[in-house]
Amino acid sequence: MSNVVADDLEQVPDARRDSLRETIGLVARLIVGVVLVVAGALKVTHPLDSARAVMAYEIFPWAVSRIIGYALPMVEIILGLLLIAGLFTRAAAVIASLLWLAFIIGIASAWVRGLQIDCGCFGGGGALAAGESPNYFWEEARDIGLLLLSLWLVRWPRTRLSADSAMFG
Amino acid sequence: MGANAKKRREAAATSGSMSRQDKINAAAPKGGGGPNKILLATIAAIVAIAAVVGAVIMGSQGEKTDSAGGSALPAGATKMGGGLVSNTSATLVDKAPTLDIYEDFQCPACHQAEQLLGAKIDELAKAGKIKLTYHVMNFLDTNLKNDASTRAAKASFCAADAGKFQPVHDAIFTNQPANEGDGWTDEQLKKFVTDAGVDAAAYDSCVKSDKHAQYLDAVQTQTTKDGVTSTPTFKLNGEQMKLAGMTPDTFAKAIEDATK
Repeated sequence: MSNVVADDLEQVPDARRDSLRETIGLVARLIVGVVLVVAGALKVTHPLDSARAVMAYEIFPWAVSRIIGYALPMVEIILGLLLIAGLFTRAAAVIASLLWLAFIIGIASAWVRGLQIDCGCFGGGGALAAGESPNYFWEEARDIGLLLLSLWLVRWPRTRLSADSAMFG
Repeated sequence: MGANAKKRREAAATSGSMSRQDKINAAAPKGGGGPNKILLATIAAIVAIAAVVGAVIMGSQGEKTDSAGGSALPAGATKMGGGLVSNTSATLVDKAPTLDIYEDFQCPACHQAEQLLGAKIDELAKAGKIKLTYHVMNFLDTNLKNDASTRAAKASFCAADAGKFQPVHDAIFTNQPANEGDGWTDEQLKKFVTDAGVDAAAYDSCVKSDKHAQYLDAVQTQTTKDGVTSTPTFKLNGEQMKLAGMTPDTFAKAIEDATK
């Protein structure tokens, strides 16, 4: 029975299937890329705040947090621009996937330890004021969605309207 | 049926690989002088690494007190980035604990803590039962996109130079706007300071000189390094106090327990 399904799949013309994949890839690239650029741009002008947001996770000491806090916004901007342009899509998507994984683990760890913090994903960050409650569920859901989109690009890096296909065929 | 499917799969695979080969063939001639992927990737990687390293260096530079203003310490502060002792005139009792308070003038939770405990803290500080040290921060300016925390902090430092930090600190919190982010006008801040008995001309020249700008920056940086990620943070002899459920009485008891 499973063969019937397999046969049907194989009968979809290669060109049409590729075209659908490349279109999904374009959408994935733009979503992940824009989120990264926005997140990076909102933080890059306030490096100390970014470092404080990292400190709030109580995972790394200052010596490590400051490097992460200063470097991360720039990394996000560069990856985001590469993805929007579709340049070195697979490499950018691999690094982006690792980033999302790190964020998912970091937020989960704050969640299970009961920390009351803002993830600091789009600037701000740090401990929440009294009366505010964390949004860990939605932060995790968002990052998992972005991870899945990035993994799609790792698996199928050929996308529509990309610098990769324009330059390297 | 199985054999049929297999045949079709083989056909698909062959045509797939052929079309890829076709593409390679098609690309090769016209791409004679085309971009070299490895070279481009290397350049992109170098540019990216340079940008990230640059960002880290810029960030580290930002930790230094690069503010355009002056580098004077307000009275009560003994070092750049350190706290400001508000009750230097009180005679401390034997083994009086140090109470470090980390606050941003625009922080509503700080206002609540001040309303609840401020009178008790003033009383203990005047009696010399605590060494009361304030770390005035201004990080909320970034979140709220204004400069009210910075202006209020500098007003309190100018008041400190006239020995009036505590009353001005209290007045700023008492008059914290109901809507977080509305801040205070320069006139309001000046009124808090002159009402506390500071000479208006001295205050004006202090504000104009911006002499405490680097001290304020240094406090913000140092508190971040020390892992103070929220305000208010109260530390009693270096140990963070749990403020939830605190009353003036339990607070006084905690101070008493720390005095032994």
